[in-house]
Amino acid sequence: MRPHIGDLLRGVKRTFGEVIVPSLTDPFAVEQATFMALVLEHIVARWDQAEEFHRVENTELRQALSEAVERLRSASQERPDVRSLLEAISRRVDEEDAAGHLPRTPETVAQANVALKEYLSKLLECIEDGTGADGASETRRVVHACHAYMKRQLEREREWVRIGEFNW
Amino acid sequence: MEERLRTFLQSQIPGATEVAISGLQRRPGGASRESWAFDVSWKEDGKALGRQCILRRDPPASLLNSDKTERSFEFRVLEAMESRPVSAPKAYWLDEKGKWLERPSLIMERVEGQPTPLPTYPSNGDPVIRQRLAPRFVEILAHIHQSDWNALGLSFMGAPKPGTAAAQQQVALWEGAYRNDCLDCVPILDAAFRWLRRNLPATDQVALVHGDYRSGNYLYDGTGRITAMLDWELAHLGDPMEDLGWACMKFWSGGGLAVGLMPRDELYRRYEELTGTSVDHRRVSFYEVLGNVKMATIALTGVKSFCEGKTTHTMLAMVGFMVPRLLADLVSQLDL
Repeated sequence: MRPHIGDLLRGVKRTFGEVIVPSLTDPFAVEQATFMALVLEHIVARWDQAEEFHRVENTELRQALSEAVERLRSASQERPDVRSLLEAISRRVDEEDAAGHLPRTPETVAQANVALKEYLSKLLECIEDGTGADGASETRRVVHACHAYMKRQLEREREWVRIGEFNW
Repeated sequence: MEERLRTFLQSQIPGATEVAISGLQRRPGGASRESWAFDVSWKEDGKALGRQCILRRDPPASLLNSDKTERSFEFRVLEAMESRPVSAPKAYWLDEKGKWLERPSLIMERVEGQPTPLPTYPSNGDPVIRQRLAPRFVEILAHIHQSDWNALGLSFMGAPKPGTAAAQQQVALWEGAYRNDCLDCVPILDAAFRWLRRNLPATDQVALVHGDYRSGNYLYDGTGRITAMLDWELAHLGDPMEDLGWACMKFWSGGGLAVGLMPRDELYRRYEELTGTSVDHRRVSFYEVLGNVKMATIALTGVKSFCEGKTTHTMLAMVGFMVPRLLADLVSQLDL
């Protein structure tokens, strides 16, 4: 069926830019309209990529956390705080693995990602001082892997905001 | 709004008759505070008087939470700065609790001049104007930092003790805002806060810190004269290196120049000449990291206000798009 969402968004953006904005005279309204045009530009370009964007982040987060659990399991024997955190992470990742097969809205996946990122940050805070001499090299590897994920995600986000980017 | 303003000003100028408001118009910009321009005229003892004003009013929600940037603080700083050569607008009237104007508000002098459209002087801007702005930009900063805040009655802002307290207070302030006022978890920001907590610099210097000292927050005229230094809402007592770190952030370094005006070395040299204080590079670097964290937190706070429907300012939807650039600078600074 036409028009589909992309048709509608492009049409609204066109009308907004060619009819509404030129008719405005109040400076504050003009400013707001300019921001709205940026929002529309972004939505037109990204609305059908949002699911993939959040899903990729979800997959990478689960991978990074699973790897951390595997690597640190034995090294964390002397650190009960790390051990219990790893158990909690493991449970959360398992839940997420199961949910990953179900249809979910981009917002639901994004919300799940927030929880996974909180675990990632907690883990880094916990292990940055080390997990004991025996686990030093494994800990370094995990920290490195987590930082690598953070940088990959940052690059994706930089690309994501490239359209409609607000240069203040 | 016009009638509210008229009634408020009538209450503030007891002998005034025929108080009239004209030209009331909301101004663009001002994502952290609503900004309205207007003229007020009245008669007093048979004389016709008037002022050109800016009303700064707390919005329902904004980039910055009101409890961190109270209007009364800003008003008292502006009052104190009247005796200093820092081109601050005169503070006229304060509605501290929003009794008259719905939300906490202050009214100040409307100064002629234009702001830079971005928080940096444009790289394609007039080089002659840039050359005139740069020395005055540093001169005003030096005057702010050399202010005797105790004698000016600003000790109510709370002076940090010597040591790491100044840095610690700022880290705690912005980490609190991040934890309480942001919707998302940002692991790079979490890492940056951990780094900041581990690397607090010590100082026994306590100065009045502007808190948002950059291009975009001053007005200048066609000759390159700075006519007003604005946006004092983040002013506090702290480490003077904080303002230098903020001004040196890559985020607003147009064409590789600090705030688009001058190379970092020149900023340091001029500052040292004017204040007689050596620039502590380590502390400046710390406050550059804090600056990126602070700016990202401010942006994320605005996004939350927008997402929760607490504001109709569309700019707050878009400020979140600035965050990845700030995070990229943090990755580089912290060598993640």
